[in-house]
Amino acid sequence: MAEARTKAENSFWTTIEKFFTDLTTLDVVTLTGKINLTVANVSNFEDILENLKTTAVSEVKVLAVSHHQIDSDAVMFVKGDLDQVNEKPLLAMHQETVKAAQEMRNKVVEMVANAITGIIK
Amino acid sequence: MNSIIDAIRNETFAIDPGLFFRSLSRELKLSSPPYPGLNMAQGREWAEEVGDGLRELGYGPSPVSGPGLMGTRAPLSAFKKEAGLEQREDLDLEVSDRLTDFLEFEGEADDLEFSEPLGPESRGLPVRILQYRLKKLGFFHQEVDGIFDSHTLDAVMEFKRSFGLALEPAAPGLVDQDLLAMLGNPFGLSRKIYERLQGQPLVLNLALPLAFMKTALSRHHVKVGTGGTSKDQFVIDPLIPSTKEHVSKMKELRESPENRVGLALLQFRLWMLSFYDGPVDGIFGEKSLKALRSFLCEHNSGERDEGKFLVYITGGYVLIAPGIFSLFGFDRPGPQETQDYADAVSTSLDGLLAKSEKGDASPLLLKNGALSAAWSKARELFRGLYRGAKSVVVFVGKSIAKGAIKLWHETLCGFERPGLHLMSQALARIKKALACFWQSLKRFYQFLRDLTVRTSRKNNVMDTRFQRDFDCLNLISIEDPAQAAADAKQHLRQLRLNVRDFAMACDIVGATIGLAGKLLSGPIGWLRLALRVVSTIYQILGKYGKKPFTTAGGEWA
Repeated sequence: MAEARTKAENSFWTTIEKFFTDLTTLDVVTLTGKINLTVANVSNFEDILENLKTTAVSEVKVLAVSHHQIDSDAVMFVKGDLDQVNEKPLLAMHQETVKAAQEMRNKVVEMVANAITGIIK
Repeated sequence: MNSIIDAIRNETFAIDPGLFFRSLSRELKLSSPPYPGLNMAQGREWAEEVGDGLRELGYGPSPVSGPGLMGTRAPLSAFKKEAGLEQREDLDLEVSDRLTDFLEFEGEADDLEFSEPLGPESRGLPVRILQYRLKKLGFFHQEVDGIFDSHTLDAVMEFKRSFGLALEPAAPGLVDQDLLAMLGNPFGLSRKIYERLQGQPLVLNLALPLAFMKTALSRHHVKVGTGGTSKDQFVIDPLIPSTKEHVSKMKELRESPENRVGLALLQFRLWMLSFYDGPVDGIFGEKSLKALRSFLCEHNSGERDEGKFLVYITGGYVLIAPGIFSLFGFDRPGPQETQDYADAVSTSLDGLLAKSEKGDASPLLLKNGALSAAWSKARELFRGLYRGAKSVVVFVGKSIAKGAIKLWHETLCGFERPGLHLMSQALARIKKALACFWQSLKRFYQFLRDLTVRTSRKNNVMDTRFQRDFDCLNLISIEDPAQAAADAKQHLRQLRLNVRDFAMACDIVGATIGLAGKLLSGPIGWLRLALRVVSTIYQILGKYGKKPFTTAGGEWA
């Protein structure tokens, strides 16, 4: 019983630690093409990418990939032969998504800070 | 520090009980006028309220254009003159209280005496009050001007006829003190119209409100059982045919004068509770129906007699049982209602949370073993937090209700009218703020489980999937390139709305948890905490431009 409890506690702290470690980086990937995926069986990126590989889909392209560190270091890859008419709006969407994700992450950090500050004060 | 609790502790409210109520009002931004003057914003708010009140009584057209009472001086002076009050500026606060008393429909005796009954050619404040009340009740359709003219006379006579009052042959339109008081007493009027209807339902033609019918038929809470006598409810007989006689009977009922007056009074009562903001005219349009539906939804007891309903739809007509007026109350509420209201707060919180619980469980399908196990653990953790949080919200709601009762019994029961009025509004706000906090917490929890924003139009599908660490994957499936730009724009709009809601939820949750650190023990402590939480949540709602919740203005049901 005690062992199970210790195990559960370790698992709890590992989950929390992983959550905050993951918060330090932010990755945004934008894929375009004729994508044929069902929503029910995909809930994380690994599964989605695995499904994309195995499903008979012929035209999946990576439009852009962004990687942001919490200390503001950032890398962004963009498809070379970008179609100015059809793909440029999608690139703008990619950049907006990065902003949205950053804003949400900042809000969560702010929320934790507010809660802790309020309790300590 | 909280000024309300401080006032109680310092016993300053014993010297000036009005201070307590005004503090409560200011703290929660309730509709009653706050104490003016500590800062310019508060003074302006107060001056605006005074200006609005004076305009209602037909004194002044000019809206407030500066701090303090600038722009309201002349109308206020005219009001003082007609009310026989001294023209001293230091009495403005008392004057504004007096003004509020005339404007509110609290069912109390008027602090106003006139020697002779009002009639044609009468002028002054009593006539203004008469016109104002007739106007609010839907009998008078002109501007309030304080002159008893032919329009006023017609309105008085129509009111008398509608409520079965005697029309003196020699002077049918005379208004005495009792009649003026009756006009200001919605409880008495409700009782009168209830008796006058003699069990006859209020009838609406169903040609317009298809949406209402759909809601009424598909959602059981619109069909509210009152637990009253058979006169107050309908016994549904689905086999009633829509015969010619039936239709003609409905038409006859709909066109009866009692029906129009009953519907107008129903609109008025809905207006008093801030459900309705349209004109009181006895014509039930979409606005009135929406207000009625919201009212019924909020007053669903959760229990109803088998096959008996307050609102019934038959053969193209909506029928409303006269018993609906009992929901608004036939008498001014007393201390027992505080207890009942607090119980209702607890019950509805339980209901709200039970509902949330039901909607929470769509199992996630994961095939990857390691990820699945990790996710399963995380999910258990989050579920645990969710359940824990739910218990806290329920506990807080119940404790606040207890705090309110304790406060009521120990300190406030001597000041029945303003105490009940403000306490009911405060509790309503606390309830709404708790619901808002709970929804925010739920939204945050849902994000931790999964957040996908999807725009799907024709053959273009755009998905933005967030992981719990905010990594993000855009999947854009384009089969109609010509539409891609427009779809991307639409998708971004949706994404921004989600981000905004999420940010607001984070602010509310963070601020509320932070405030919990200042928790004091005992019910009064909980009430104090609640006041701060409500205030904070409303500030956040304001920051995000969300419309504040409406509150009951004048009474509670």
